[in-house]
Amino acid sequence: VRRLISLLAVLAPVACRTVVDVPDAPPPWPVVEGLLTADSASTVFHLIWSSPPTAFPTDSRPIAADQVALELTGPAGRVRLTPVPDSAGYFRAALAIERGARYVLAGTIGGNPIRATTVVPARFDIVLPADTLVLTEGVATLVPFDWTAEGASAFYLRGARFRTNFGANGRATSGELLVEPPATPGNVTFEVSAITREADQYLFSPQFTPRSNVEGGFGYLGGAISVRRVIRWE
Amino acid sequence: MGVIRDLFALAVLGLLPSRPVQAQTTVRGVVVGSVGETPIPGARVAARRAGRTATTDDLGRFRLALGPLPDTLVITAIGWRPDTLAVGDLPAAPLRATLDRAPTVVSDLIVAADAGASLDLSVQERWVMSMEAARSVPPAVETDVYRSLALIPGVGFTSPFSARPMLRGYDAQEVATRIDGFEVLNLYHLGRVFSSFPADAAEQVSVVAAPGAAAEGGSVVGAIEIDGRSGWVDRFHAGGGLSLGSVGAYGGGGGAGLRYFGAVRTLHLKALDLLPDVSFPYHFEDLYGTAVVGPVDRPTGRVTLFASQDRVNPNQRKSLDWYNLMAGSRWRLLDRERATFEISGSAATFGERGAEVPSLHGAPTDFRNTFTHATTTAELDLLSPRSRIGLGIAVGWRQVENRVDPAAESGVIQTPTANTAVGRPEGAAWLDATHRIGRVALAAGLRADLAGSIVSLEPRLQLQWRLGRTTVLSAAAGRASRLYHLLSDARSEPDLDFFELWFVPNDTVPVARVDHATFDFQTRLARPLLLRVSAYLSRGHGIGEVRPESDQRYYAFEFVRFGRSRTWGIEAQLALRGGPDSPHSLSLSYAYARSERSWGGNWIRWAQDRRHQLRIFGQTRLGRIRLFGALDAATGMPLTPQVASVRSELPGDPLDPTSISRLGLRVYGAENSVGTSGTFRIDGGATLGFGGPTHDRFILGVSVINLLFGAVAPISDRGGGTFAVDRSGRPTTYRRLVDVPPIPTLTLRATF
Repeated sequence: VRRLISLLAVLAPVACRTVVDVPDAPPPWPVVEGLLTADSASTVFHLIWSSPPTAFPTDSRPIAADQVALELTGPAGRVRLTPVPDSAGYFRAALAIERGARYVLAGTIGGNPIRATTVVPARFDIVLPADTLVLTEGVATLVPFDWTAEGASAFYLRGARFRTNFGANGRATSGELLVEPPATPGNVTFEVSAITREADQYLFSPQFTPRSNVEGGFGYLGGAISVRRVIRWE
Repeated sequence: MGVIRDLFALAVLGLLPSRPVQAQTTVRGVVVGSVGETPIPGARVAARRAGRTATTDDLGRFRLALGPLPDTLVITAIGWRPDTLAVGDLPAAPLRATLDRAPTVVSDLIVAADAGASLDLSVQERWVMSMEAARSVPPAVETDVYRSLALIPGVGFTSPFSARPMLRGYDAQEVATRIDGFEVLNLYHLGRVFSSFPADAAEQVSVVAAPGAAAEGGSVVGAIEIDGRSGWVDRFHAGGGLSLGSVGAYGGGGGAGLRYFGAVRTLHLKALDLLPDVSFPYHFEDLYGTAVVGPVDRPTGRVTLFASQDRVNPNQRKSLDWYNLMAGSRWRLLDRERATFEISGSAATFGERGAEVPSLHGAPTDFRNTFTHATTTAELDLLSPRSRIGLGIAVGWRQVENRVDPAAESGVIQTPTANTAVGRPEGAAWLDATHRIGRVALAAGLRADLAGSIVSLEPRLQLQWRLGRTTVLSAAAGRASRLYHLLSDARSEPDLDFFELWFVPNDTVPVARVDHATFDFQTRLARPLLLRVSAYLSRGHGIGEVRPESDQRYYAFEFVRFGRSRTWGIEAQLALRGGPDSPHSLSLSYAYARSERSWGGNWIRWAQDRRHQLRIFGQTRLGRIRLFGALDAATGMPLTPQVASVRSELPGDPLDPTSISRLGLRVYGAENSVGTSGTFRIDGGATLGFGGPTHDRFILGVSVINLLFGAVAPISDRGGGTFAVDRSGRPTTYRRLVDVPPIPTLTLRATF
C-alpha cells in the first residue's frame, strides 16, 4: 500500500501537468494577397509577414518595399510591383487584367522565390437584378438574383447579403438577396464579384485554415469579375 | 478429407432426430439463476471428461457435444457461483443448471474459466461485463452501459463524461450497438454523456471486437451488445434507482410459459445549464420491455421493445428532439440436440429534428434526420461432436433521410449541408464451419453483405488452441464491412455540437472495409492470478470522418473525408481475486495502441490516438460497506499545431479603409503532429446495503470522480481549461478543454 501511494504521489503531479510539444516557431512567411479583377487597369497587392500563432490575430507586419522583387505576367506583358505611396504593405501592378487570361506572379520576397498563378474568370452574366433597382426607402427588401459565371466558384457581395446564409459570399447562382436600406437616403452601389476557386478557398474559409496557392510563401492569387448595379431608394 | 466428410455428414445428420449414441452424444440445456429462474447469458458450460465447452446464448441455452458418459458439467458465469451438473445417462429432457449469485468483482472481466475445447468461437475477442460489476465502479452521476465499458482495455473515451465508446483505434461511430441482438442507432442522451438504455434494464454488456464469426456484421470494428434482464418465474420483482441524473424503476414476473420484464427511466429539468450562459428545459424518457416465451428449460422466443425520446427546449424556436424506437423478436422453430433453426425480425428507427442547433464548430443549423431499417433473419446451426456449421441469411430495407441546412438566422458562412434521401434493400448471407482436431478448433466462414448494387465479401478465419487446462490461445483474421457511413463530430467536446452526416456508398463515397487480425491469450497463472493478453492489427479502406478545421489540403467546403486506416496494439490485463465468495479483487490493465489514418497523403496519427493507457480497479469490503477505487492514466491525444497567424484582408481599395474587411486567419501545421500530456484521475466510492431480512433491499452509494483534481480532458486550441506550457515552461495558446473538479455522486437503489 505504501508503495502504491508513493507511485500515485509521483504520477499525479506529472500527469496533471498540461504540456504541449510545441514545434519550434518557423520564421515568418511572406504573405501575398492579390485579386485580379477583370477589365481593371491595375491590381493592388497586400504583402505582409505572417505572425506568430495566436488565437485572434490582431496585428501584421508589412513587407518593406526593398524586400519585394515581384513581377506580374499576363497577355498584356510583364510589370513589376511597385509600392503604393504612404501605404506600407501595399503594392500595385499596373497591368491590364483580361477575362479568361492566365496570370503568373513570380519573383522574390526577402530573397525567397515566390510564385503563384491564376486564371481570371472568363464570363459573368447577370440576368437579375436589373441595372437599376428601385426599392422602398427604409424597408429591408428581398431581391431575386440570377447569374452565371465561367471560371468562378463563388460570389462576393458588397451592398447586399445572401438570404440563404446572411453572408457576403455564397455559391448559389439564383435565389434572393437581402438588401438593407442605407443610413442616409440616396443611391447606393451594389457590387457582386464572381471569384475564382483560389480566392474562394483562401478568403472565405473562416472556420477552416485558408488554403494557399502561393508557392514559397502564403496567401492567394485569384481572379474576379465584378459587376455593379445601382440601388435607388425612393 | 476427414474434415470435409465430417462437415458434409453433419449437414445431413443435423436435421435428423438425435439418437442415443454412447460414444458421442450431444446434450442441450439451460443455465438459470436460482432466484426467479432468469436465464444467464454468456455462461460457460464445460464437460470435465470430454474436455469441451459451450457458451449459453442470450436466453441461457446451450448445446454441448459429449464423449462417453458419465460426465460432469462445470458451469461458470460472471457474477454467479460456479456449479456442477452430473450427466449420467443421456438425458431425455433438457438439462437445467441453477446458479446462485456471487459477489461480482471487476477482475471477473478476464474470462479465464476452465478452458475447454469449444466449437463456439464467437466468444473469441469478446469481453462480457455484468452490470453488477459495472455498478461496483464509481460512476459519474450514475451507472451507464456505455461508460462502464471503461473496464475493458480496448475501449476508450475522450473524458469521464463521454459515453462514446471508441474501440481499438476506431471511433464510436464505427461501432455497432445491439439490444438483445437487434441493431439500434445513436443510443445517446444529450451531449452523448449518457446512453439512452437504462442500466437497470441491462443484465450484461458485451464488447465483440472484429472480425468475429461470419454471423457478425454491420460494423467495421466490432459491436456492443446489450442483453436485457428477464422476469422471475412465479414471483414479481421490482426495484428502482435514484441519482442526481435521473429516476428509474423496473419490474418483472411471469410463469412457466411467459416471463416479462420492463424498465423505465426519466429525467425532467426545468433549466439545464449545460453550457455557460445557456440554460434550457430538457427531459428524456427511456423504456425497455421484454417477454420470454416458452418453458424455462427451453425458451422458444423473445420479444424486445425499446423506446427513448429526448426533448431539448421544447416548443421553442431553438429546439432539439430525437427518439429511438426498436421492436424485435426472435423465435427458435427447431430445437434439437444437433440442430437449431431460428428466425428473427426487427424494425428500428432513429429520428432527430433540430432548429438552430449548434453544428460543426458551433455554427447553428436546422436538420431533420431519420434512419430506419427492418430486417428478417433466419439462422440454422448444426452441431456434431467435432464440427459445427452455422448458416444464416438476412433480408431487409434501410431508409436514410439526412437533411441539414444552415439556420436562416445564423449569419455564418459555412455549415455542413446534406440532402440525402435513400431507400434500398439490404441483405446478408453467411456460412461458418468449425471443426475440432484434438485441442485445436478451426473455423472458416464467409459473409456477404449486399446493399442495392453493392456487394461486400468478408472471409473470416478463427483458431482456438487449448494449450492446457486453464490456458487458451486464439487467433482470428478476416474482413469486416459496413455499407453505410454514420459520421458525426468525434471532437465535439466541449462545444456539444449536434449533427449527423449519413452517406451510402456511391461513385464518390467508398465502402468501409477493414481487414483484421487478432490474437488472444488467457491463462490462470496461479490460483488467484489471471492473465489475458490480446493483440490486434487492422488495415482499412473507405473510413470516413468529419474534416477538422486544420485540414488545408482540401477544399474547405468538403466537410467530410474518406481514407485509409491502420491500427495495432497490445492489451494486457492482470487480475487478482479470491475465491467465489471473496469480495476482494484487483484488476490492472495496460493497453498500447497505435491508430493512424491516411487521407490521401502520408500516414498521420488518428485524432483520438492514445498510445498508453493504464487502468487499475480494486474493491474490498469492510462489514456492510463495500469500497471501490479506480485509477485511469493515459497519454495524450495528438494535436495539430498552429504555426502562424495572418491578418488578411478582403478585397477593397487600400486608399479607402472603410472598404476593407480584415480577417484573422490561423495557419495550421502538419495534422496531429504534436504530442500532448495525458490525463490522470482517481475515483473512489462506497456502498452500504441495508433494509432486508435476507438480502439488502436498499443500497446507498457515494462516489467521487477525480478525487485528486487531475487532468481528465484532452488539450486543444479551444476550450476553457488550464493553459498549456511547452517543455521549457513557456506559455502556449493551447489549453485543456475543461478542468474538472472532484465530482461527488449519490445514488440510492432499491429492490423488492
